[in-house]
Amino acid sequence: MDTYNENELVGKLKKGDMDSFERLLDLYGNRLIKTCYLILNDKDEAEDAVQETFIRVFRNIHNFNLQSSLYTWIYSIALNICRDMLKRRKYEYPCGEYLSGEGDNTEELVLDRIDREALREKLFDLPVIYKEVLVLYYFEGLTIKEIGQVLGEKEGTVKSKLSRGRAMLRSALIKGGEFIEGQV
Amino acid sequence: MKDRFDVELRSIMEEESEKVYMSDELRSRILGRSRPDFIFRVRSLLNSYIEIPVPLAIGVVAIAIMVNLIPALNIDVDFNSRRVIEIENSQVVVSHAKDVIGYED
Repeated sequence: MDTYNENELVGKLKKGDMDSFERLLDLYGNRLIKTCYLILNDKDEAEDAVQETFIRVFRNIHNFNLQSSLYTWIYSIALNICRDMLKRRKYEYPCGEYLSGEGDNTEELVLDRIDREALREKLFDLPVIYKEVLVLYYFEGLTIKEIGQVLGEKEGTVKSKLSRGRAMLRSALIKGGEFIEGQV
Repeated sequence: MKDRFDVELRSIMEEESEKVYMSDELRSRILGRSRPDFIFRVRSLLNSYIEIPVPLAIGVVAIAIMVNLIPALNIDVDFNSRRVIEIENSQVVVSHAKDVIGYED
C-alpha cells in the first residue's frame, strides 16, 4: 500500500471508521495469521494472537504516529503477543551455539542432505528470537531494515540473528537432531 | 543470494501456513470486539486536527483588524469638532453646514 493510501486509512481508523478497519483486516489479516502460526505452531493460538493484535491496533491507533509504516507497526504488536504466548507456555527451548568453524563443507553437506521433514521440524523447534527473524525474512519477504523496525532492533542485530538462525537449522540437520550446548 | 536451503525454508513455510487463513468467524469476532466505544470517541476528538478554511480565516482576521482600526482612524463621531444643537432631550449633530445664501428666494 502506498504512503498516501496508508495515511488516508490511518486517518479514517483514528476516526473510528469501521469500513476502514474491515479493509485493514482484508489487507493484513490472512498474512498475519500465517506468520503467527509459523511462530506459534498452533492454529488456535495463532487465531488468538491475530484477534488480540487487531484489537490492540484499533484501540491504540491514536498512538500510531506514521513514523514507521502501518505494516511494521502491526507486525511488531503481533510479535510481542506471540512472544508473550510462548512465555506463557513455559516451554524451554533446548538450543545453543551453532557449530563454529563449520564453513563451506557444512554448506555442501546440508545441501546434499536436506530432509524437508526434518527441516520443518527443526524450524518449529527453533528459539523464537531466531524463528521470528527467519519467518519475517523468508516468509514475509521483509528487508533487514524492515525487520529491524518491526523488532525495534538494529540492522546488525537482525543480520546476526538471521545468520545464526540459519546456521542453527543447518547444524541441526547435519547432526540429525537437537540443538545443543546450553540455552539461548 | 539465496541458495537451495533458503528456497527450501521458504517453501516449507509457505506449505505449512497454506492451511491457515482468517476465517469469517474470526473476522466477525474481531470486528465485534473492535466497535468504537465512548472512550475511543473522546480520544478521536482529542486527537483530531481542526481544519480551518484559509479564505474564511483570512476574512475573519481582516474583519477583526478593521474593527480594531476604526477608532484609530477616527471614523466615529467627534462631538467636539461638530456643532451640536440641543433640543430638549435630543441632540442634532451638524456634520456639514452649507451656506444657503444665494439660494434664498
